Amino acid sequence: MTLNKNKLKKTSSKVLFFAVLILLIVLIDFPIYWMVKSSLTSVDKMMTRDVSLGITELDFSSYKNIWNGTDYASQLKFKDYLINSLIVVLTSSGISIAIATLAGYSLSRFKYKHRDSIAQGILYVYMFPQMILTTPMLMLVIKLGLYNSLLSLILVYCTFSLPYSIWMMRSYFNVLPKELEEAAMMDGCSKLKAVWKIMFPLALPGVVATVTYSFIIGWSNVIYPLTFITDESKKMVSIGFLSLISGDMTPWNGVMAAATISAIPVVILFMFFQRYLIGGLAAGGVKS
Amino acid sequence: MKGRVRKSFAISLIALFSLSAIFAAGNTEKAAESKTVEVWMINSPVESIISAFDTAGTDFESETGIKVNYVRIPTNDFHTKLVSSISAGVFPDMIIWNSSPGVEFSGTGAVQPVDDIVNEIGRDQFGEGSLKMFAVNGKQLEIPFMVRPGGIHARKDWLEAAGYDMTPKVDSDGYYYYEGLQTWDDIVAAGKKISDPANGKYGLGFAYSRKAFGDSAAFGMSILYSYGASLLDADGKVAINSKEAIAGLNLIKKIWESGAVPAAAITWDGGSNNNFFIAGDIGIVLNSNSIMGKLNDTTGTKPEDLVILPFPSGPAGSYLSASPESITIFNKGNVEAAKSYAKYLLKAETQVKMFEKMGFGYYSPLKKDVMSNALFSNLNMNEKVLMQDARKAINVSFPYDPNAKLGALYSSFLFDDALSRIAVDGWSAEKVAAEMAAKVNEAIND
Amino acid sequence: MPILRRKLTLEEKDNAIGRRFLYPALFVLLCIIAFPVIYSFTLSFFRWRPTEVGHRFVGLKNYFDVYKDDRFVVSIFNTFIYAFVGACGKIVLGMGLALLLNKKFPGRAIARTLLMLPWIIPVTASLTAWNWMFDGMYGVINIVLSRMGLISTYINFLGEKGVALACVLMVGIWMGYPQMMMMLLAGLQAIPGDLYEAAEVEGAGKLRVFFSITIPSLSGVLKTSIILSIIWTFNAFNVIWLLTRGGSSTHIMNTLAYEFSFINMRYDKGAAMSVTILFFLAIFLYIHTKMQREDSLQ
Repeated sequence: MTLNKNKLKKTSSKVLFFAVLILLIVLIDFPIYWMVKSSLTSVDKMMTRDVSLGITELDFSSYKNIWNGTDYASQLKFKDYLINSLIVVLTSSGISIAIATLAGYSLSRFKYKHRDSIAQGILYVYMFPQMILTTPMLMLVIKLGLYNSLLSLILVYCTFSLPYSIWMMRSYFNVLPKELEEAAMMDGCSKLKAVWKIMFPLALPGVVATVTYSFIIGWSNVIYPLTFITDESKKMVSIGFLSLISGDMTPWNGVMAAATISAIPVVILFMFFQRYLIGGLAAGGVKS
Repeated sequence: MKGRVRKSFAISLIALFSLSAIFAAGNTEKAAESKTVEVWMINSPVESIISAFDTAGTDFESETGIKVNYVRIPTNDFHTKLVSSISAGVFPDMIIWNSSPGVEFSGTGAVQPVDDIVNEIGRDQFGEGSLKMFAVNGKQLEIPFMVRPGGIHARKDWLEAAGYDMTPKVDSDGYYYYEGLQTWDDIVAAGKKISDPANGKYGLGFAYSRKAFGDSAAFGMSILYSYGASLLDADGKVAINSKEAIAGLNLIKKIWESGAVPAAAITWDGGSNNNFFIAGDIGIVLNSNSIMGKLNDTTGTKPEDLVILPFPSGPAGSYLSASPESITIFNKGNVEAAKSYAKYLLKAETQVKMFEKMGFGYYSPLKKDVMSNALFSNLNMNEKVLMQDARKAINVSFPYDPNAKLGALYSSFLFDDALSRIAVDGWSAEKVAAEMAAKVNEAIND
Repeated sequence: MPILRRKLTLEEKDNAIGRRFLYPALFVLLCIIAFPVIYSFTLSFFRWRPTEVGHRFVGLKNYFDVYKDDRFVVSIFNTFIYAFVGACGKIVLGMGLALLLNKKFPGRAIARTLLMLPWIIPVTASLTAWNWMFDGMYGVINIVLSRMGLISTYINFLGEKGVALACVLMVGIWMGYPQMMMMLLAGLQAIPGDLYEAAEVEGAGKLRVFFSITIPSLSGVLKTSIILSIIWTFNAFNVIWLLTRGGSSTHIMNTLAYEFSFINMRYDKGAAMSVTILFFLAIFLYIHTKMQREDSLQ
């Protein structure tokens, strides 16, 4: 009898647990569901109060319009936006990770004056509002003749990807055992070689996490592409489709389709590397 | 084994990065191409307009060998984009826009005076009024090109149901009008009559938003100036706190409080009122004429339901905030090519060809030799009204000489913010007028 | 003995080499931070417009222009509301979900991904979705509320004063909590299991376990995440700019600075505003440093 009661209590608490979890997930992911749902709705069914909450039709015409640049999307160059974003985000996270691996290693393994204040300073840099940097960076970019170029974005994207990358890499090196590189040093490796041959491969999960993080953050950056790029063919995917909203007529289903496409690459990336990324996020937070 | 996988992963990662770096660098190389005229213009929602301009460009190229490259920009982005480009010095060769960039940026030295083109074509082709709008210190900085007529778009069926007689009449001056829909007060009364908020139907669709660059400003400024307000007086002193201005602001407040405007109008963007009108939920909107081409049998509002009301008048007359679409030429080392394309676009035969393609409506002609073309002799009623309204166009410096500082003030939401003060903050007309006066004062003494 | 001495010198030499590994990073960071800060600071004392050529010294005029703008006070107020309420919301929601995810159950990885989505999806994508959901004419939130009979006329969520700020806050929390959730989850997983076992043996209630074991063990992580989320929220720009453009009294300091520079075409006012933001930020950073120093002393 008591056993049964216990079991009942256990199952009911389990049911409650899942009910709460599912309810929260539904509430939290509803905007994303609504984005996808709206993108599959035809134009004449968008502008009405008579909507159903479920998916009632699968109209892919808005995706076709956005992808091929037809109809209302004729000024969009969506494929260019995707390629531009890929170039900028990959290059800037590549540069960051190269510099950050060295810096993180240095901050973690060596002892010198002001080391900890430097580490702290780097974290503060990460907390800097991008807004403050925008106008001066715009002037700098103009002076360098980089206005309307992807290179300008690659450079400024380091402002937010580099500091956090350093911080994350430092936490990774902190937990790696010291004996390994000491063994390598005995073998006569130089320091730089030791970083490259031993530490980098060992820290690879950290590298993957850091790059994924920079990628996600860079992919959705708004303020820099908004101010540095006016050329349609150089726009980033994060802001490229916003021009649909401010026109004479907003094709909301097309906007939602574009938004959905722009989200797909990061979602895929996250699904591949989420194990690493979550470890990395934790390391960045816990160890600071 | 594991080590090799890691190593090759790392190597491929690095290869990928360097490859994209090379790509990125290559991407910046292409900039310097001459023999191309870069033209910025508003992004039109109507396909036939895009192709009309494109054809003009390709025809020009086959005649002269100079390529024309259009950059089409949405209304909301245009100004921000121009500001950062001008400071970057990467502005286009030519801008076709209705917001007076030549006057506004006359202080930067980037704008190329165009008196020679205007004189060559003949000043009488444009009319002194429209030329004056674009002249600073005796220099012509922009050439009036066409008009993008704004108009009051209304639901004929709703108004008829509310008892209005929708047969057009002609007054003694030869202007068209509809009985009982001539003044702003009439429009407000009509809007109230046709509203049915409980069923989601609203009479008036005027944007009170700061996200609808153009729409809110045009609405606010048109009413204020029709009530006799102006930003400055004849002596160049601030005049926007005059009793005329306060009367106009009171009307704007009355419209908001009438309940005929949906509450959502506070956050509308430039497309919202069109969308809702087309969907069939709003009776009267003020917009540039992009609605006509979008109506069909599946939309909430059918093509035959649309009537364009002659622009309403206030105590001081009927003025519509809409400067003509103008051509501004910027000096970036390609002036001659840009000028020759401007001349080509201003030729009567080019424009007639364009109008044949895009029809009349979104754009209407401004030059006299184009207007007299046979193409414009058999317009329908709505088009005739739009043509008539085009004559009511004024800009922010009206009735005095154009002033770059006032133009900049217009672009930085002077009127849009005044409307939000009324709708969002519930301010009184006097308080709003005082704030506007302070802003104007700050701008002119700046 | 000789071996030890040799090792020492080697270590010193190593440290000197190791320090050099830091130089590229320091160089880049100095360029991207020091330059803009000095530039903004200097030009905040000059007349500087995109519509004019050159600069002219005007002293503190730009600061006066900023401070007498009535949006300024509103923006400071909003910034603090936004930073503190937003950070609390993120921590509470993140903590709750981290506790749920800390249990082992089938489908945990999927649940985790679904709960991370708001953070992964590009901000412009999710914010356009929110924009459309908040719409005052055809927005789904209005439609659902009115079908449930909770409202009779549609609410203009992003337009009404107060309501707009609440909506913006809600979206900010929605977008920012996953990061907090992950940090706290990692912290929870690092708590040794035997602590809980001991508590269970003692027969402590769930609530007591939470307050006497979970919270103290998390204190380090919690402190970091609170200060981080306050600073991140303080620096928010996207949510407000993309949802309301600062309308309906929702400006925060960052969006106001952007508006000064790029909408009102007063780069100089924008610079003065930036310096003001930096001043407030410095206070936060000072508090952060102090907290850390106390931690290391303990």
